[in-house]
Amino acid sequence: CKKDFLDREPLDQISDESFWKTPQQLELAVNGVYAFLKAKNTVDMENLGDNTIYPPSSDYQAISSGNYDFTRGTLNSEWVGHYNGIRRCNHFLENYEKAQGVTDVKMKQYAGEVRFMRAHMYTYLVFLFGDVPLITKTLIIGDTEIYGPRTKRTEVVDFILKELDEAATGLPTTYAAADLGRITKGAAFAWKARVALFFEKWSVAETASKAVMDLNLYQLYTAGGTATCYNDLFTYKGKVSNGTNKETILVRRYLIDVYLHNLSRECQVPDQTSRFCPTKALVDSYLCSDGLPIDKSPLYSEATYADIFKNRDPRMKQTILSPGAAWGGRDDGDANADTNANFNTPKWDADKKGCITGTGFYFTKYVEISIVGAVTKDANDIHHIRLAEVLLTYAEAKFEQGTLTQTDIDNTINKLRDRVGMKRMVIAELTAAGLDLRTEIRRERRVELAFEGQRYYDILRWKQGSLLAQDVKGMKKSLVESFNQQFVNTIPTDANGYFVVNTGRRFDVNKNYLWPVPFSQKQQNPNLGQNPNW
Amino acid sequence: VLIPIYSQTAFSQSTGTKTVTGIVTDVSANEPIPGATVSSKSSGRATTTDAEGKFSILVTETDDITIRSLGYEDMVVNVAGKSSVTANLKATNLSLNAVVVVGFATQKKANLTGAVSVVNEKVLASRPITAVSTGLQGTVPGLSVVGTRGQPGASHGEVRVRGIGTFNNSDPYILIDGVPGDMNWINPEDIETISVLKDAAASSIYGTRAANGVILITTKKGLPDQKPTLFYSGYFGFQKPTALPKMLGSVDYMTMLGEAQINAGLPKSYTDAQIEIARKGSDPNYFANTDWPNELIKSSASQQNHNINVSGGSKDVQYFVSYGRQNQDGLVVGDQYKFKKDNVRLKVNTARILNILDLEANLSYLDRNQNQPSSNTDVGGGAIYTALTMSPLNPVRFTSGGWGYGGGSSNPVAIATDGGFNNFVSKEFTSSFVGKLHVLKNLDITSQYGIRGTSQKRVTFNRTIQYFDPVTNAVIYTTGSPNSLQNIATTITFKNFSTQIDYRLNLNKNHFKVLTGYQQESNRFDAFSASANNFVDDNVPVLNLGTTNFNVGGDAYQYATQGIFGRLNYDYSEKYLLELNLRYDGSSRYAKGHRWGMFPSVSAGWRFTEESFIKNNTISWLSDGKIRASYGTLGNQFGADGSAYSEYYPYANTIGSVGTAPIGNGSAPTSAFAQTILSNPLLEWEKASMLNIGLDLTFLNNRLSFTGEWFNKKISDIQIKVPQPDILGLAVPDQNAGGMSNKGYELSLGWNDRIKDFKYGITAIFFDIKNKVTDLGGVPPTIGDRIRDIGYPLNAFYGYRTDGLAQEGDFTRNAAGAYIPKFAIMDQYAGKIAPGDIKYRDLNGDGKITADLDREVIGDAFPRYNYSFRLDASWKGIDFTAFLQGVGKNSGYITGPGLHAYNADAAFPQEIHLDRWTPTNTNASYPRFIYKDTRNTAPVSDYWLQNASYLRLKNVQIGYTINPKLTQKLRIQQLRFYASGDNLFTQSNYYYAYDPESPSTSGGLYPQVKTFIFGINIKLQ
Repeated sequence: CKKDFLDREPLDQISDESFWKTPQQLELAVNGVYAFLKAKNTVDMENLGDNTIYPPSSDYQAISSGNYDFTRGTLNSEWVGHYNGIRRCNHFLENYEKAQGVTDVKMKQYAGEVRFMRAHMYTYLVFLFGDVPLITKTLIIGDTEIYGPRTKRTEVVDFILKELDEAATGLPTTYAAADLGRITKGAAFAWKARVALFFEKWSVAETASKAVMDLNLYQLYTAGGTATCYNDLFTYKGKVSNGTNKETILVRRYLIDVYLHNLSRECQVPDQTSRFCPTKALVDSYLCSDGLPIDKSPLYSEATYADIFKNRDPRMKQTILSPGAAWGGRDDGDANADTNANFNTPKWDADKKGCITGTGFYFTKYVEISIVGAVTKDANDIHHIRLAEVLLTYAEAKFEQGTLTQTDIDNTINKLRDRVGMKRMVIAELTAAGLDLRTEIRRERRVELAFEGQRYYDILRWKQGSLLAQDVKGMKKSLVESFNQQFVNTIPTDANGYFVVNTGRRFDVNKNYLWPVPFSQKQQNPNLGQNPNW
Repeated sequence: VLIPIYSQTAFSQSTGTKTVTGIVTDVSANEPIPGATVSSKSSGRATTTDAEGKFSILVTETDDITIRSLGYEDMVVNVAGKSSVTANLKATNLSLNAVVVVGFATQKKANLTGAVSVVNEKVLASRPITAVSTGLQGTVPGLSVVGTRGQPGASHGEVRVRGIGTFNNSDPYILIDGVPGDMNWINPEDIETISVLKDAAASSIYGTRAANGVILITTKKGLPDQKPTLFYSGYFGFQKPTALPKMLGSVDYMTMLGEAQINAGLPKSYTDAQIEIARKGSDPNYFANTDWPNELIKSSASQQNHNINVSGGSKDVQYFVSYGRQNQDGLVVGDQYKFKKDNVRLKVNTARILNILDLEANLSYLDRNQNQPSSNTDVGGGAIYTALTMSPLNPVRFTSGGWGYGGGSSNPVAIATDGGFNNFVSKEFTSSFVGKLHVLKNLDITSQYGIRGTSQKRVTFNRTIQYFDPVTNAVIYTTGSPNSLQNIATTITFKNFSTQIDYRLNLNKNHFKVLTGYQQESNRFDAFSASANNFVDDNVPVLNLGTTNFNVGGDAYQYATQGIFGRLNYDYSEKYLLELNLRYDGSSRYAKGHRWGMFPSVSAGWRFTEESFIKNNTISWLSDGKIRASYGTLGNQFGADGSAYSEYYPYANTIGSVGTAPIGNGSAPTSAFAQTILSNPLLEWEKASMLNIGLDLTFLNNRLSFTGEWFNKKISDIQIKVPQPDILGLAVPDQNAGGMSNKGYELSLGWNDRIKDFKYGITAIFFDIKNKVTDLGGVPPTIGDRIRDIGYPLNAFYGYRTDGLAQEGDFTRNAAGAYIPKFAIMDQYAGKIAPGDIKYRDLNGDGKITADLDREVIGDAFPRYNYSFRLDASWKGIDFTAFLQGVGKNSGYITGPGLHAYNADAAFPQEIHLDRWTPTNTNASYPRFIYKDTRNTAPVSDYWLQNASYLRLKNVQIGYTINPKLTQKLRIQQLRFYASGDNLFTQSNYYYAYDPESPSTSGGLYPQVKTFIFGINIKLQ
């Protein structure tokens, strides 16, 4: 018998010691970190807020309604997923300097990408859980940090901001086509602006968003013209690989037949209830085309379903499906059971011939109609941060510091309005109409970023939790055609005749601004403690 | 293991020869034994007895003739002065002189000091088993087979010898003629005996492989001086499911859906008018009435088996050649479930080459071909599961002829029929060569080299299924698009080598046997895969016809083990018995310095009936008695990941390929690398220690036999993934931190007798094993639905206690009329609990139900009180066997659409749901329906725990053998017709839709089957 008979080395993996040597290895390790760039559930999380609902039930709906506890699976999967990503980043940052033959510029770029990704993951952790353990090295079993307490939220936020600064110094502003989708300097600034805004660090947010604007790289997407460009941005036309989209700053990309999700189908699933039904609250938030809210504008009418969409901010029709628009949901609510290429009226009949709505509304934003008919074939990019958000952040940060001018509004909000042909926001007119500027800036953000996953975080930071405790409502029952009334007669309505699609909601301001530490994490490490009142 | 070679004398020519005639009979039955071999010692000449047991042979004047027949002890008769001989052979079944195959040797049953059970070929004969493991169920005290199901090619169960010995892989070590292998797929007709080594004394010679028991399978061989004998056995038959879900129709579904939606505060989906449409069947495309499980599962499927073997031998060379074929069809429409198996075996033994060398060559070939739909069988997406998640309103086919579809789930009949296939072919060639050198009279050196090459290919073809609008013919839904093909080719090369020295020494009544040896194994696995998409044709699955997404991959791993071993047997006059074993083992799976382990055992026995004070006391009813005890340690090298990659190099930190998001403007997946597993360089063997005490008694001239065993097995250093906070960021590695104990006892009782022509035998087995976790590495238990906690069985069901369903009287009402429960509830359901909901018990009395403080162990899935009862009887040509097997206590848990309705969109009502709680049916077995609300269905609770105890008629068979006298002219020694059935009758209170022997499920299990066959056995000589 041979002495080395038992020496059997791994045959298809590389040892950690022999990795980290070549430029190729380094790049492959950086690529591995991108697995943790938040994916399509960014948009799913819109169901945490008050813009959309899937009436029957979902984890996100339970959290949104306050009717959940710390065993809810989503809590733990958010926690675990982010810490898995953080470890991968830490592992890279501990080892990458061992490589030979990599230019200094590349080294800094790689480190910048990975630092950004680590900050990205900590951002979700502090947004949702508050205090969390701040881990910046690869832990092994036996390390005391494993059973350590949580780090203060402020300390983690400081770390995130510092890391984003450091990442930005090494990151390039643009990449060659072969590196499309990598983190840029602009993404680091823009993410920093988002984090700073969440924690009301107004001047930091202002500076960071200004830094993005000053790069002069990003432009609002206007191809196709005012009537469709905003909607096009969220279809295949707006995919960053097409080259026409100069607006998106940070993106989770998808590839036809390779990397796919199912969002378009979920919005207009042609035989079931849409997983994302726009709420009355969202529909009502769109201004009329005169720049006034529906309760103040003489242009607003709710006489028919179609009237709701008339004389409104053009973004409304490009976000919420309006009569006459193309859709992929087969049969709509019209009198016959035939397939409709264009939408006329909401469907309530569960005959499985078309897409049903829970509220009376459907999304058209983020719907690539060509693939609604197929399951998990959607290659639409998920746009994390685009220039529009940065402009809105800049405006809000300046407003909160009391330095917002009409010029600032013209350079930010009004660019967004010009893009779609909406009447411009003018401070003097708001004042004259008795409108509150803060409310209108927030409305602008809600409308512009609707269905992009931002709404829940905005509610949290604006301390508007009470919105989540309100009943979720849909359209007015009386607008449902007589032949469809039989399908809605068991849906309750409020005093004004609007459908109540979700009730029994609660929001405890002393508790619900943070998620609880997940049950299994608390069980494994009691030193984590628990968030207040959970 | 080598055949015993009987003693040899030089041939001497005698002066005179004569012919001796005779008859060979069974001593107890006084019946002729046909086919017995009668051979002359002087000439080697041999003959066989005819149908009446008669023979005639040419011998020398003072010759010895040897008479042997399978199942009987050999007999030698001196023919000096005799012209006729009557030989009464003694059956070996209960005989203490029977030789039992043990590790690296054989041992007389009387001298065994360890716990060894033997299964003979009779137990598996004429049964329609499709995997050998299932045939062993109930035949060996202490051996249980769990988790069986009926899927063709995957019908094997998990074999557990004396319970689950670790948190990890608890499979016993299985050797087929000395070469490690899989017992399931060998031809049952090739098996001569199976030895199950259960305690440390019996198995510690296998060291690190032995902790979960050792099973030694010995195949048949030709006998010396055996005329060429041809044996054919074959059967045809069919299988039927033992249990199936019974779904309700569309009208019930729609009506109850409304009830569930109102209870959830949601609008009703269907109007009364629509329910009327379904009732009338006036819209067969969208308001159909389909019973999906019934549409998918056929009432029966065929099964057939053919086996032919030829054996024979001279004094110097013996041979056994066999071919077996089994075909099994599936119970699912579309006929994608199929299994074909071919077994070939060639065994040649040569004796005393150059007077000192025996050789054995044993070649076997196994060809398995298993087909199933390309979608997974037991989980979501597969046809069987989907049959539970598809609305009865959807038709199998639209009136236009295309596949029916109505959203939610894909059409299971379409998936099973047109969704593509997953075809797995495994070709295994095993060869074993054994050489035994008789160095001295008492000293042998034996070496065995075994090599098995396995070549496997899995071809998965996902076909596109399109669903068309029945009116417009537009495509409304598509699955499997683009179509895709994946080929995975695997080669596995396994080699084992062992060599041993045996020495025997007899000093008066002191008998010594010494054995020392060396053994090594190595295994290498290599696989590559290739896939492509967008095939131009759905019927020609070959990679060349793909047009996009060409992908390749490959992986490989290897391991090796090495060990030395020794054994000392000592007995004094076969009265006092002692055995010592030692094994020193190493494995490549661990880091240097942690590779090697030492595993000793000691055992002793006392045959008290050999003592003169008992022998001379005329206790005539006690034929033999032995008490024995053993203690020893064993090892287990398998860790928590089963066959996962981390099993092979748990000590190494490695970087491998991972998936990621797309980068760059290409259209191919992006390559990325990362560390995916933590390592543990300190990892080493799991260790088991085992104490065994046994008692063997035979009474009434060996007609009644009894064996009792008691054991206590403690397992320590179990490789477990000690849970760590997830901020670690990677899956934790195995650590030697777990502990477990298995305590149990086994009783078996046998009785054999005859009343005139009526012969019968009864075997009864009872055993029980108590499993308990004793160590978890000092961390708190993992509180999931299946808990690992100290003091409880492994993976016990952990959940809430319940107090039945809440009734009106359990509530008060507030001013607004809302229900205020008088019992504790979960806070997240505050304001929503109403009559008809399950009342969870507030175990800690704090007034609310919480996951951390109100759950406890409510049951476990360890079969307790295992029993079986076997009756063999024959009368003239008729034979009859009945085999009952049962489990006295066990639990199972059914979840998801297998049990529940309306808790999710895709969960449909079954007949049991007619007894749900409603205001008019308050004494209900099922809680009220609440649409898409899981308060009553998701929390694991004793309300849903299923009683998995059962008693089952495992097999019954009746056969008729035509009187050999009538068939002898055609040289037919045996012609038997029989009918046999497995799982024909079951008594159980388990959930009606699934089998108590199948694993806990959420629905979607391939059904367990009952099988009926009609067969024939023919033996020609």
